[in-house]
Amino acid sequence: MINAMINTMINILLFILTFLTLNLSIITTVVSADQKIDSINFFVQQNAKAEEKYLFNPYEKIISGVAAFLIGNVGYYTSTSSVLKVTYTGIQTVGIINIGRSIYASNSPSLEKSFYHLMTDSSVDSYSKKDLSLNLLHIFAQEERAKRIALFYGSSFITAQYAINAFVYKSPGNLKNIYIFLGSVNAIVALYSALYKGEYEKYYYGPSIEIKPFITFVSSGITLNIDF
Amino acid sequence: MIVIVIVIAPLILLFSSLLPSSLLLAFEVTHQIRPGSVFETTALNSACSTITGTIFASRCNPALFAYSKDSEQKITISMVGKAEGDSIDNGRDLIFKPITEDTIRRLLQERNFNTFSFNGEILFRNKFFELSYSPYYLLADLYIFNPAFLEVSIHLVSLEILRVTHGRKILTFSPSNTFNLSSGVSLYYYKHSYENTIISLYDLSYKKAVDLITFKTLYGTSADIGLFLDNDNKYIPSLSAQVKNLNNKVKEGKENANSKSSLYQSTLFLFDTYSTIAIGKGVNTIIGGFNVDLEFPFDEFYRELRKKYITFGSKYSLTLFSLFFSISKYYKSIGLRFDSSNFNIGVLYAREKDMGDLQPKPEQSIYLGIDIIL
Repeated sequence: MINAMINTMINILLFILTFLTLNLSIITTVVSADQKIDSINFFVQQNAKAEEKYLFNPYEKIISGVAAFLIGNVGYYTSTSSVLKVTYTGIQTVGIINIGRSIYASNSPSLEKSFYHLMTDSSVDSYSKKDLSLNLLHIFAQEERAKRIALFYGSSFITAQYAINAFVYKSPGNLKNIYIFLGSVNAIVALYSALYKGEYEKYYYGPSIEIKPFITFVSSGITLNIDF
Repeated sequence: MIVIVIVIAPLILLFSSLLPSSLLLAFEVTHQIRPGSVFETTALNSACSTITGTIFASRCNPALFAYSKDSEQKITISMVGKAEGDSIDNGRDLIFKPITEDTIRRLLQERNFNTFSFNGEILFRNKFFELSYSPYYLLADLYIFNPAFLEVSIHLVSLEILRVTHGRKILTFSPSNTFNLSSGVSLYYYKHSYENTIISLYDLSYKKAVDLITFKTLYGTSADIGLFLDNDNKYIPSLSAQVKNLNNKVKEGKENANSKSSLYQSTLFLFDTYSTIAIGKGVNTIIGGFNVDLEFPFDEFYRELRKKYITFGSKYSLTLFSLFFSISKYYKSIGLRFDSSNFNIGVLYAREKDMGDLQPKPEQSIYLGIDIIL
């Protein structure tokens, strides 16, 4: 009788252990299956909730840059002291830098957004190596081009501005020399940016000289493209 | 919102007029650049205790640290100083050059009031605290009282500060709209080198020029405490209350306040303990952000309202461009700041009377501010 009781208890224990093991394997399998699904969903969710930096309106960076450029010129022209002239030169430069950065921002790609579109395209189940490499190549080429175009226009505007400061406005002798030097350096940078393309850009867009600032404004679903 | 300001402001004035008045110092001087100032606080003449979301908001009110938008770690080098003005050269010479007989003689021949001020600091911030080190807060004030006898009141300050700031939201309640109460504290250690003296032509006859000015040094710790009440209603203004320079041992000039001569300078809202109440509001529109702030300063712990120093400050901003405007009885200024990702530059045009009613006509000054963000 005791043996029967012991056997019964052992059977019960084995049943419980089996039950628990079975459940554990089910849970593990479910979790594993969820993780395989979750990596795509996780990427999509993270991309969807990524915080965009707050902008009052889509044109404000250009407006700020142009305002700095104009105020810098008016202030430089009306100032008599060297300290203020240097300050307004700084303001002109900040304005031109912001214009250059706006050109960069409107041309540069987003790796996250590109892959987000790939992941959420319901008409495609899988991508080949060639598709992915072409997509990456496009992104790298766009990035190289965006940097080159921004540098070209930023340096060109700075060269023009410093030439105006040196030869049109009344500048003290030592400041004039500094403007001529910095303007010359920026002119060389602008020329180099116009003529030299990176490898990815050359492969994707071709080797010919191209300096269009392709500015895109997106507002309420309407896209406005401006070609210069 | 304007109606609420018009209603609340007289109540504050009425309440403060019932408090006992403090001893009125004969010769008080204040400045737009205060210890811990950056270009933004200078441009608004410290009327910024309710303006949230800017890099330097915690300088105006440590409770605004809780509203820091950017949680990245940042190191910023910030400088603001008076660059042009009717009296700038004398002040700069006294601070940066050796004091000679020629310097003293030139001072005694110059216009009545000359002043120079500058603040430079390095700032490190993350989402938990802000740490700043200011190796130089410089101040030079000179005042000629009696051109016939040629006595000059000189006040020179070189202040070094190490400061840590933290603030957080402590309470949220929603009777009808959501209200957020935040508090903040800024602790700082200071080394205050100063000279507050009077020199005359007679002194030059028996003393060396370099012996006329000898700096004294004070060390100590102090604190600023702030509260800020914000809400999500577009008509109800935000409120702030602060006490600044708690436990500050610097009382230069005040020890001479009872002397027969009233020539010694006493500073106001710079090193002394003072408190403020402010109301303000901010709104974001498609054409930019607008903020207004009305600041009421008090002596010590809300002892007496200094009505002549009530200041209105306003700010218009886009992401990369800001326009500042401030007005009070003795200060009127308009400033511009232009930002890029690593570099900000600002210019401020001001008409100021640092000596208040004692100054017959305002001085026209230009301040420059530079921030380098690493």
